[in-house]
Amino acid sequence: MADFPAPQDQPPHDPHYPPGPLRPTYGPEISVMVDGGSFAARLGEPLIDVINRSGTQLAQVCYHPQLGPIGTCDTCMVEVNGQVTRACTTPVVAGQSVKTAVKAADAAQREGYDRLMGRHDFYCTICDNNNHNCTLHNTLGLLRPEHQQHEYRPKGYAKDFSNPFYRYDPDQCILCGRCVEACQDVQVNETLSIDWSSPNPRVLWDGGVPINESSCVSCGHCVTVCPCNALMETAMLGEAGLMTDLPLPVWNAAVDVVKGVELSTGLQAIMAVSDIESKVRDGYINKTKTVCTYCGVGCSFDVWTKDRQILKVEPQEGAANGISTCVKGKFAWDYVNSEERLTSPLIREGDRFREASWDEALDLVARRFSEIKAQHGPDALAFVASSKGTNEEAYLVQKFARQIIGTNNVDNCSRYCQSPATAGLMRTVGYGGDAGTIKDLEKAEMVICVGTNTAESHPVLATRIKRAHKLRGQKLIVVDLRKHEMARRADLFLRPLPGSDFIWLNAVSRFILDNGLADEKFIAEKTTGLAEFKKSLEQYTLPYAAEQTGLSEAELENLARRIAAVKGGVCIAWAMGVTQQCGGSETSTAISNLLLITGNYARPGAGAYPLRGHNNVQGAADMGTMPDLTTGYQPVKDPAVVARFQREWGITLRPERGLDNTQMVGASLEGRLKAIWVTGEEMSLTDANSNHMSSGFEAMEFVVVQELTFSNTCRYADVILPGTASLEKEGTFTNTERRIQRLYEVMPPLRGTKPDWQIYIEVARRMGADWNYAHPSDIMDEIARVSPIYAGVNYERLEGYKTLCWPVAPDGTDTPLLYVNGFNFPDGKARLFPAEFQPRQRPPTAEYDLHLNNGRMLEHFHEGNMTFHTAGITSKAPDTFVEVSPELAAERGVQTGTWVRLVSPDGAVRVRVLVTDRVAGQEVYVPMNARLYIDTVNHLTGLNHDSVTHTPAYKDSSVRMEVLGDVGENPMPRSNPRYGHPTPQRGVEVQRKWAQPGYTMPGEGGGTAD
Amino acid sequence: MAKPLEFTPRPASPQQRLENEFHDSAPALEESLRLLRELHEHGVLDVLTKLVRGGEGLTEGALRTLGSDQMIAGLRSVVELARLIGGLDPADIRQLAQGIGGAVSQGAHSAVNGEKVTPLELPRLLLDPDVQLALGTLFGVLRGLGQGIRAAREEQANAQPGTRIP
Repeated sequence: MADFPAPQDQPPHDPHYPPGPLRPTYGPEISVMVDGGSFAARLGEPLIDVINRSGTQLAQVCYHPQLGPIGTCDTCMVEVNGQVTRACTTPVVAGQSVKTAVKAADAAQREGYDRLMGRHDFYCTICDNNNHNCTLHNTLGLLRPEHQQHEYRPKGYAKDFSNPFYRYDPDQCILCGRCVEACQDVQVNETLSIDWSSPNPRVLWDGGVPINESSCVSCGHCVTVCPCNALMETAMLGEAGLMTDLPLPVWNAAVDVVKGVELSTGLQAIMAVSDIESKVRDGYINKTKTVCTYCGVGCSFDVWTKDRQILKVEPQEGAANGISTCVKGKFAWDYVNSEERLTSPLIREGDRFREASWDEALDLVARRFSEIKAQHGPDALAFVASSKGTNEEAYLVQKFARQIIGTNNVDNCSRYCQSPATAGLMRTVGYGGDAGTIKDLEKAEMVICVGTNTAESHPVLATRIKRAHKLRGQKLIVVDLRKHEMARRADLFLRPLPGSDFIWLNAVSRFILDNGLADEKFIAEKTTGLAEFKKSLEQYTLPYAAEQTGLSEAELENLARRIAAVKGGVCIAWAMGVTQQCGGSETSTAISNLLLITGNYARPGAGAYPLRGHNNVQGAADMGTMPDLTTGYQPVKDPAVVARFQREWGITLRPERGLDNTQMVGASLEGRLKAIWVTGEEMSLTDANSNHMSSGFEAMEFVVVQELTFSNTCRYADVILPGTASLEKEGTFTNTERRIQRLYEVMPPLRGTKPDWQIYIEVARRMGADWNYAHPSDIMDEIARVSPIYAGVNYERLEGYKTLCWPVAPDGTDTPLLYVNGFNFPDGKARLFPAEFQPRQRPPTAEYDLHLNNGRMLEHFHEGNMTFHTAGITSKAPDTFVEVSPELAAERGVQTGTWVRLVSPDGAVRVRVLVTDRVAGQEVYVPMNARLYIDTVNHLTGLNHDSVTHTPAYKDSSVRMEVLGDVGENPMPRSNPRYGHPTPQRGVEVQRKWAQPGYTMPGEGGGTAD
Repeated sequence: MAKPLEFTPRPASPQQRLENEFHDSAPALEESLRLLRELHEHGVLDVLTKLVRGGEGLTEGALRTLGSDQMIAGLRSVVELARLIGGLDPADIRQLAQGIGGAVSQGAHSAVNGEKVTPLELPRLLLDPDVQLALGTLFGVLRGLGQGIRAAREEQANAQPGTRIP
């Protein structure tokens, strides 16, 4: 198998990487002869890749380009320089002559495939996997065997239906090991294995427990890559084929008849029937590309549907993810067809909501907005865009606010999360986005994760870091309060005191500068402000930092030296642990400063990676849904920007900064804000201090909420407008990589709902606007006209799975890697910015003695409005809880299941304890997702916020814990994968298969060589 | 000033869902109703209803019957026959068919006229070009039969005992 080269040997950045994990880099280009023709190849690459590129149809079953060679199926046998061997495990060397169709190779291919046939019962016509993409079926069609030597024998293991999302049928399993490879080395959850030493091998979960009792996180990798129907999504079973849902006795009788007749017809005739049946399915199964609605990784995939029924999610070609998904993207789409979907506008009437027609509701909205504007001025209204809506929709929200109403009171939920990172990066490097792409995180020599629970919040992105760490020794450093999965895997895990990241970062920077370890050349050529920056570091000595952070001087020095020693690129990824603090912007600035002085920008495998939470929070910010910036981060007070929008919109942008999300609440309580239009944002639960939020909503005269279901925020509305889900509309999302991707309409809007963009247009028209967009592409064309960083974006360039990373030049050239030609300042140089420490405002006290940490879980997305609709997910994560360390549990006399009340100065919640060593000491952790709004963690958080962006400092919270005494059920059921015991190994370990007694490679010793 | 209110969306009732579908499907429904009237008037609906009610049993029964050894053998024989016919060249068959047609016609004529051939006439007849052509055809049939039987026997001998032979 090819080894991965060292990071410093990686080629220059190439934006056109194939989807999936980073492929190894191979040697120089040479030629290989394949069946008499000469073909370009790279020294060391798998021969099978060359053969596949040549257009030769070579039988192969276990090989998948995104998994790399596995070597288990023994089907891709070819003759190389006279010897029969596997094409997948043979690296290209100079002078190779390959023959794929000679007698010896052909016989070996057929022998290899025949062995697989002995493990799989072919009933393709009534198989739910007969959808043109079954590798085993298609290889049968390629080889067209007339005789089967190895009689099919069931393995005798029961099917495993324990997992709610997929099932494993050992009797159909050909032991190709693709699932093991994907689990071990792509998802790197390390749950699956095959016990080759067993006389009757099968795929095992955690070495041999039922799937639902294992460490399986239901990411779906194994099901996606399975080349037959051994692993199938349960939603597909009995649903995909014409006759796949026959009652079992009928099904069995049909199989018996077919198999009896097959002796005369031959396999090919029966295959022909199954191919016809497969074509018939094309008439009722639609396969439509979309982009995931959940996190900021931006996975894209095809969604298979039968009318509105979602059969499966099939990832293959997505630029950010390839074959990868997480449990949410692969399986959590039940909310789309939930009976809780709103299907009619609702108008508040007295003490109830009544259903209304669209015309009535939209007329009311337009009338009330006009009245309030006339009576109180444009700044009495505010608009909150959805970070789950499309770019086009976000653009219309801020256009509505600025053009129709005349206010800058517009914001989005990046205010709650990554605005501080944007601020820090805008200060230092000029763009508020990731410096590169996920590929750069894979390529880096070192990745430092600060305040990010990446494996749970950005699962697919985390897989690439885990893979690089596992397979090629990428150095991984994690700095966090909790010992989550990335912390457990890290080469170095540091647990500083809460709110002290700024201090250790500055201390490390100072040590590097003081000891001549900085990249002097980079600093001199590409940055300014060194002197003032150094001055700002004066107090950050190692002793001071050790005292303030709880990390020892030795640890700090070790960290500094490790970072400085890296030549192959350092990426620093961070998230809410950094940004949701009083000093979020300052700490983000400190991260960027550190990267600058070590020369870790403007090259592959290096840079700053603030990980965006929502699927389109990057896009919502790009589209200017912010109180002081319009599209493309253009300041509203910049005369050139004002002129641009004057030409396009016919109005003059106001220069005054408007209200952001957190200020809107205060303005409402002061009587300055009278109305608000919130789209797809559970503000009442996700803003800090939920009680304060509720008061703010109650104080407003007119609240419009646009939502999929009746959320907690809807309870305060005067008008509720039912929007469509992402699967029900067209548009674009921009992920954390700045990558713009198209989503297509998978199913028409649910009856009674409208896409958000159509709703905005209808209200705007009622208020006199001349908005004539017929399709979201028209909106994107306008965005491109007014936004330099989107200048070259259009729907044609984003067709299918094509993507663009902004900035995009007018000719369509995009920028996966930033700053190669200079930083985004007039002189092209980065700024070393003298940031200032912002201490915590709510550290633990005698009364509130525990530090409250909070965040996401893998299974749920944020507060769970969407994910709680999926029964399989709620079975594994049914509700909220509080993580308590073993030592704290012992001290307070609590156990898992004990009911406690957590009390802060702002509120209280009642939750059950979960004792775990993920937290330590006096730290407690509560996830964002809760079944009931009264239990949500933001009843405990306060109004303290980031000093620059006003992002709530959710992580700067303290509580006391009152033991209520009752002991309930364990809040984390036994089926949750956190109880599992993975079995790490390097891929499928095919060598153990080859070492089985009696095993021979097909065609061994065969060939034309002497 | 908006106090929080609760609301539980009512899922569309079966009647509402049906009304929505009616609305969307009006043209298709009109045609379907016309078809149903015709089927009813001809008694077809009655038969179909009974068949559907007995459907599972019928299908299972039919399949079980088809799955019996005798039926499988019969189906296989039909398939083998179909393969045989499918493997023949229609151009060749045409000539042979014409020849058989001629043979039947000539034979019938000879039978009607009571024509006889004595042993002394045989050598003369063997010199007849038409007779020679017919003899060539007959021996061709014998040769082909023998070749086919030999090939089938070899094929059977190559297969391992107990495996299926497509």
